[in-house]
Amino acid sequence: MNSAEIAKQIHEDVDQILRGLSIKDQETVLKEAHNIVESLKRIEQITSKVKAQA
Amino acid sequence: MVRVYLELSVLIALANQFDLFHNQTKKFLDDVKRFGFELVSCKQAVEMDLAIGVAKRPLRVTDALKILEVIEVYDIKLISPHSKPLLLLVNEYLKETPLKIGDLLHYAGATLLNVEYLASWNKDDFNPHYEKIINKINKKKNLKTIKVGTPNMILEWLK
Repeated sequence: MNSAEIAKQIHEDVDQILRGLSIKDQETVLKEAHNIVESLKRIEQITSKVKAQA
Repeated sequence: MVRVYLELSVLIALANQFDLFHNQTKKFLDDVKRFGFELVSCKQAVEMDLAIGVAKRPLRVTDALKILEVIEVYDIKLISPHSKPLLLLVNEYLKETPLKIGDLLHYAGATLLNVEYLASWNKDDFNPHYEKIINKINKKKNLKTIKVGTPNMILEWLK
């Protein structure tokens, strides 16, 4: 799959998750997505640090 | 300063050297930077895409991390409009278009970030037809109207 097809697929998945929710619930989902991305960044920082020390 | 908005497909292409659009995307960003334009994307839309992309598997964790890395390397500013107005606008667009909420988060983000151009490789969902519908709503709400196209189309407009 190329980038356009992957992005299209992800946007359909995002739609399935957010559609039908209240604005308040949609806001909560966006906050949780932010937390997931922050966790990924922290995991990367930790693993890079450990690999650099090895 | 003129702002150019990058939708998810452009970020994925930039991060993956084997992607069909990788080289064209790099050239596009280099040219846009030479014009002195600012590269932006909506933080909430990108975070939602990455989180769901990883959860549902079109993306691996390493893909998501690579995308975050190129965002930093290319000085693409992830800007957060307030979430409530962003989502209210998405829900307005939903009444008028068959587009998916994932697409509309980028249209709404681009509008609220006052961009001139929205770049996407996904021509099915980001094209002049939908640009017209989105801009009709934006005009009615006194919001910024935007030009939507592929990076190649935008480069042609800029020449």
